[in-house]
Amino acid sequence: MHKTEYYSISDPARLDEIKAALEGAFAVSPGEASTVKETYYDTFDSALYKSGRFLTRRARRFHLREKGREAASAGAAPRTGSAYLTWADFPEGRLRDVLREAGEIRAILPLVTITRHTRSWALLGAEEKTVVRLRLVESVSGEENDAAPIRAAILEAEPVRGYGAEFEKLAEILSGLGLEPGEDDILSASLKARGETIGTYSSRVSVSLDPGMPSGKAIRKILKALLETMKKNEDGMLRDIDTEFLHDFRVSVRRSRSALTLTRDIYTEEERERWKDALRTLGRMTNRLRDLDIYLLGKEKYAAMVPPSLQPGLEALFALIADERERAFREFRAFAGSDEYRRILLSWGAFLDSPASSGTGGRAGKPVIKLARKRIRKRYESALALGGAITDDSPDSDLHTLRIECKKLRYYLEFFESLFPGDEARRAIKQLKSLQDNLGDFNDLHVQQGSVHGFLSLVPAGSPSERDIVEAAGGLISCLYSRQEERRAEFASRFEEFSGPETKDLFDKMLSGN
Amino acid sequence: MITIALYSMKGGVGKTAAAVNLAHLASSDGFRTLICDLDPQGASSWYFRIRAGKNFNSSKFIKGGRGIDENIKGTDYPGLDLLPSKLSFRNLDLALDDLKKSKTRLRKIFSEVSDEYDYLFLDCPPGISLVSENVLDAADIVLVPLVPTPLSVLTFEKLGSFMDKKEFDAAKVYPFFSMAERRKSLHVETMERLSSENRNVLASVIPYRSEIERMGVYREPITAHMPGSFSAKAYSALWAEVKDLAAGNVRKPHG
Ligand SMILES: Nc1ncnc2c1ncn2[C@@H]1O[C@H](COP(=O)(O)OP(=O)(O)OP(=O)(O)O)[C@@H](O)[C@H]1O
Ligand SMILES: [Mg+2]
Repeated sequence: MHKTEYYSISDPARLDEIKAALEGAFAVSPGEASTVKETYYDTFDSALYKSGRFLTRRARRFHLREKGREAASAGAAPRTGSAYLTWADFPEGRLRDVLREAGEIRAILPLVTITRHTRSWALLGAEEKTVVRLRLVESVSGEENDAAPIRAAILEAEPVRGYGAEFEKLAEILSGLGLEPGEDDILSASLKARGETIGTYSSRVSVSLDPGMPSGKAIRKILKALLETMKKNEDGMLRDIDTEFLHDFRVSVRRSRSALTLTRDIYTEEERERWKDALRTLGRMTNRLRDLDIYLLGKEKYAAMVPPSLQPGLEALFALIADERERAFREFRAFAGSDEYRRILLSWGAFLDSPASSGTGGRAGKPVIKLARKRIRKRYESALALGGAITDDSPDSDLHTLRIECKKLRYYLEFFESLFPGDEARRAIKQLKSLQDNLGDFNDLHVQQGSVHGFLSLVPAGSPSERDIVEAAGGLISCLYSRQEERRAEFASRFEEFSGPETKDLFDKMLSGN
Repeated sequence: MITIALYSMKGGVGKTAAAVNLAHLASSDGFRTLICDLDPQGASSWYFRIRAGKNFNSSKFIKGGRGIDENIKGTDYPGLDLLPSKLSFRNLDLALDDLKKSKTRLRKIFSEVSDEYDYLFLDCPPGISLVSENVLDAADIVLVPLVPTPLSVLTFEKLGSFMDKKEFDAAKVYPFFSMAERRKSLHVETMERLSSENRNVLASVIPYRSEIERMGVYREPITAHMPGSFSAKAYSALWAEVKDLAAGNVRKPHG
């Protein structure tokens, strides 16, 4: 069956020619025309766009439209007040549900304002039956401040079920005019015309490497991509748009440190130490803020853990955590405005731009596939050994060590994904993921118990709610502890799965060869 | 998917007119809607200007699956598709009779498209036949247009006894008045009497209007052609009631 096709029309002068060609082949019946001025919104990672939806605002009301449809499927006006919109600002209803599902913790940001003209036509067959629906969508943007208007146009051809032959005929006519269907819709076309993009950000590492590439060059490419991700998140992180900016920034820092562990005999010892230190500082200066974010994001979850009698104390505790978060953010921003922070990022960027970052050591020139296989193998085997030695009586710290090992393995698999054929590396990551989730939860629950304890120091001496807070914290800690124990009980089966033959075959296949 | 049949033993009472307009209203509400023309005369196909493909026939229909999938056609209205009928549908009874589970075949056929649509409307031929038995089995809601005369009411009551005899759930049958004329006292009296006797009678009344009669001339649902008209509003009110039934009160007889 056919699907709606999108033809990007870069030269509006051609529209007459297109119309003439269509009228030569079909009876064309004009339909509705409309003009709206609207602002498009999405999360930083384009969650709505990637799921085929447009969120637009006209005056105060927001509308959700599905790609290829003219009618809005939901609409509502949000509460104002917060600096950045999130799903929670919308009244209960379908729009709010969709927004929540698309990005529970991401802010919804304006992208571009356009004036959108839509004209529709029906192409008619015998007995004046509609056989194809056409929409010409034109956008004008950038007229603010008297700048020259920026235009874009998309012709949407929507098939009518059972009339495939006519749809193909249309495609042929358009192809004869040099028009082929493409990926762009009116939003992406408008942004493109302005020199912008949508849907390109992802927090995933995605570098394409060749197996024969020199190791030093490959590492440099990975590190550069990670720095790029850090930079993309910097602005949102400093403006505190949502907590994911800081999170993605930190993950990139951690990944970079992990990539540096691959540089023995590629970079000098001095370089390795210097950059590891610098990156460690970036991590350290954001630890506290992230910890507090995690707490505040989990508020609902924690509230569900403790009985109603402890809720007031928990509320009071969270109010203290929120205050502390404000303070930690100010502290972080002061650091981010400091020479030290600038110097770290600038010098790291400058290093990665210099030839030195391709490595001067003896291993810099060796093919990266060798490095990848060797280091992934080492991590994999070490994870197996560590995990295999864990019994019911092992101390928590053993699981912690295994968690770190698995994380490094995961990072390596991500860095080198492109070196392995098909989706081998993806599949290996999938095998690893379920174990990692278990270990991650276990560790988080462990750490959180300590944090709750630590938060008690935030309670001002003699505060009237002190007792409530202490009781709520006690309740929460015992609940976190019992959940941690549950994770621990699940560990054995998760590890068994990971250490099983399926994973082994996969790794053997990836790591064999030279 | 909710299946709504427009059915009556009597011919010419407004089944097709209601099926076409209600289906159009359902699709305008954003529901994915299919209307299935079961009448060999093909009236609803004709209203939508749709002709069945050359290779389509009653045995393909009865087989279900791909044959149906390939013959569903989009109407002029987004979200509204139609499965056209063929003259050979006059043999549908015989074709059904040859099958093992001859009384539940339609239910099975339509279950195959149930993921694709929110509403299925069945436009049925008049009379009582194996096709009607299938329809009464497959439908979640059976809408019966009644021209408000004592004779129509009598026929309607026969439907009740027929359903009881065949062990169908008569509670899913909802009559509504069709082609009603307020200035005829017989119509008014009949409507009042039946409404007080039968709890399932719907409140909306489709009046007798020449613009509905002329649907055959402009070949569109009146709800699309003259959306502001009195008739279109009557169908909208009927649709609102039916939608409510579908949302809450649907009682399915077998699973
Ligand atoms: N409310 C109405 N007012 C005036 N004319 C109507 C009305 N409803 C239907 N008609 C006309 O009456 C005739 C029969 O209507 P329709 O085809 O809808 O009935 P039907 O029950 O489907 O008939 P059949 O049993 O033949 O399938 C048609 O010409 C139609 O235009
Ligand atoms: Mg009919």
